Amino acid sequence: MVGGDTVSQPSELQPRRRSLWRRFRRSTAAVVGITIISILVIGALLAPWLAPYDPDLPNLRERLQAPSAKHLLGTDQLGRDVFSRVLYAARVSLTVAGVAVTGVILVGVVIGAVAGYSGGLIDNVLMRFTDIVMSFPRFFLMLGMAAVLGRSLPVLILVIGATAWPIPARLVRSEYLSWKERDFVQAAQALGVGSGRILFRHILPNVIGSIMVIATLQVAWAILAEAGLSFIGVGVKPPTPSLGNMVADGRDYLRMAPWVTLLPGMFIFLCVMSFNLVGDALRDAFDPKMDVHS
Amino acid sequence: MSSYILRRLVQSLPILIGISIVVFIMLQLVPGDPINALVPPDKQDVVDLDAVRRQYGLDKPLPEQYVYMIKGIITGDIVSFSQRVPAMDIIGKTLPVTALIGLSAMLISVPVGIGLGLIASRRPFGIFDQIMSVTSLGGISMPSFVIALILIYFLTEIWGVLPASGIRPPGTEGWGLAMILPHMIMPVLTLTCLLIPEFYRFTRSSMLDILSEDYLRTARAKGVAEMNVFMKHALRNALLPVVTMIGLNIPYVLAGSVLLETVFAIPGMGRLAVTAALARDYPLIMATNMIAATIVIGSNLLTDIMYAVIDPRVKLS
Repeated sequence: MVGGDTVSQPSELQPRRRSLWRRFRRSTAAVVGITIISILVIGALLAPWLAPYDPDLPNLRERLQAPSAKHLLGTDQLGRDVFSRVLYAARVSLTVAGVAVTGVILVGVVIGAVAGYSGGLIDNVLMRFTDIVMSFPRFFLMLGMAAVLGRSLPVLILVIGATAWPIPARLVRSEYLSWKERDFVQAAQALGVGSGRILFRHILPNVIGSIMVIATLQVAWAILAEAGLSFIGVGVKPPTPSLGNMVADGRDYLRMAPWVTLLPGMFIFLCVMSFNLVGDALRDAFDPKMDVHS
Repeated sequence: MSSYILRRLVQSLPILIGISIVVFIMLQLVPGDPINALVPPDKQDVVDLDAVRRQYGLDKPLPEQYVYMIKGIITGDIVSFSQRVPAMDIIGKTLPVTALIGLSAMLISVPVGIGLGLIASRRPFGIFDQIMSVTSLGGISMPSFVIALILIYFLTEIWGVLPASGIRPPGTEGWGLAMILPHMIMPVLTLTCLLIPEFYRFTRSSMLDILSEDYLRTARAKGVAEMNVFMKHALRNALLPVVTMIGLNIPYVLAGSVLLETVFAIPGMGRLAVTAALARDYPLIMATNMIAATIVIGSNLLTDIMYAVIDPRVKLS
C-alpha cells in the first residue's frame, strides 16, 4: 500500500507561503506587535533578575511614592516597588494565558478537525456541545466554575480554557469542511490512508495559518479574562501579584496615587494590544476574509 | 415565516436543555455533600436537614434531582442563601438595571460605530481610516475596568464632573429614570468606549468585503454613480452582517458587564453573578447562569428572525 506522503505535498498547496511571510513582516503593526511581545516575554522571564526590588516586601516608609528615578513606576500602598511587581505580575498573567491557550488550541483543533471531517452525527453532536458552551456569557460561566471548583492557578487556567475552546473549534471545523472536498484528500481516502493520518498530516498543514491567527487572538482574550477575574477577586490570589489584582488593590488610592492602579492597567493594555496587532497582521497576511468571531 | 420561526424554536430546545444540564452538573461538582450547596455549613445545625433533603429531592436519583432543580428555578423555589429570597426575585430586580444601561449604550454605540465604519470604508487606508483603525484596536485591547478607572480618575476625582456610582436598586423610593440618569452617564460612557471600536471594525471590514464584490463592479461599469453604488447597493447588503454584529453583542450587554458593574457599583445582573460567586451562593449562581444563557439563546433566535426578515432566502436554508 502506498504511504500517505506521496499523495500530497502540503507545502505546495499553501500558495506562495514565503510571500505571505514577507507581507506579514512588512506590516508595521506586526513588527511593533512582535517587538512589544518579545520585550514583555523577556521581561517576564527574567523578572527575578530584572526586578530592582523584592515584589512582596513591604516598606512602609516609602508608601505611595510617585514614579521617580528610584522607583521607576512608583510604590504602592505597602511601599512595594510597582515596577518589580509588574514584572512578576506579567509573568503570572502571561503564563496563565499561554498555558490556557495552548490547551484551548489543542482541544479546539482536535474537536474541530474531527467534527469538520466526519460530518453527520458526530459533527452535529460536537457542534451542539459547542453551541451550549457558547450560550453562556463567558464571565458568568467562568465565575460559576470558579465558585464551584475553588480558587487556584490550575482552576483559573481551566476556567479560562473551558470558555474559550468553542471558537477555535468552530473555525477549524469550517476549514476542515472545505478542505476535505479537495482532490488530494479524496485521493488519499481512495488509497486507503487512515483518517487520522489524513486529518493531521494532509489537511492540518494547510490550516496552520488560521490556527496561528486564532491562537494569537485567543492569547489576547485570555490575558483580558485573567485580568478581569483577578480584578474581581476570583483569579490570582494576593499577595501573588497579577496585573488584574494589582489594579484592584490600587483602586482605593486612585485619587492620591493613580499610578498604583493605572500603570498595571496600562500593562494589561500593552500585552493585549501587542497580541491583537500580531493577530490582525497575521490574518491580513493569510486570509483577510477569515471570520474569527463566529 | 412562521414555519421558519417554529423550526428555529425547535432547534433551540436541545440547547436550552443542554444548558440546564451543564448548570446541573456544575451543581453536582461542588465538593462534599450536596447539601452544602443548598444550606450553608454554618446554618446546618439550625435547619432541619432531612426536610431540605426531601424538598430538593437529594435522596432521589439524579434525574429526579435535575427536574427538581429546573422546577425550582422556574417557580422561584430556589432560594438564594445569602439573601433568603427566591433567586428569581433577585434577578428580576437586577435585570432591568443592567438592561437599561446596556441598551442605552447600544443606542449610542450602534449608530456611531456603524457611521464611522461607513465613512472609513469610503476611503480605505486613508488618513481617517488609519487613525481610526489604530484607535479602535486600542479600544478593543483595553480592559473594561481600566477604561472605567481612567474615566473615573479624570471625570470624578480630578474634575468632579460626574458621579462614579450611586445607582440604587429598583424598588427604592422614587426609583425612576430621573433619579438614576446622572449616575448612569459614566457606566454608559465606558460601555460605549468599548462598543464603538468593535462596531467600527466590524462595519468597516464588512463594507470592504462587499465593496469589492463583482456585482458592484457591474454596477459601476453600467455607470451607476459611486454614491448610489455605495448607498443603495453596498449598504443594503451590509445590513445582514450588521444585524449579526448587534445580535452578538446584545447578550453581552443584557447579561451585564461583570467588570463594569463591579467598578461602578451597579446593582445589576453582572455584579449579582460576582457576589453570588464570591459568596458561594450556589442556587443564585445556578439561576443567574440559566437566565443569562436563556437570554443569549433568545437573542440569537431574534437575530435569526431578523435575518429572515431582511433576507428571505435565509428561510429556505
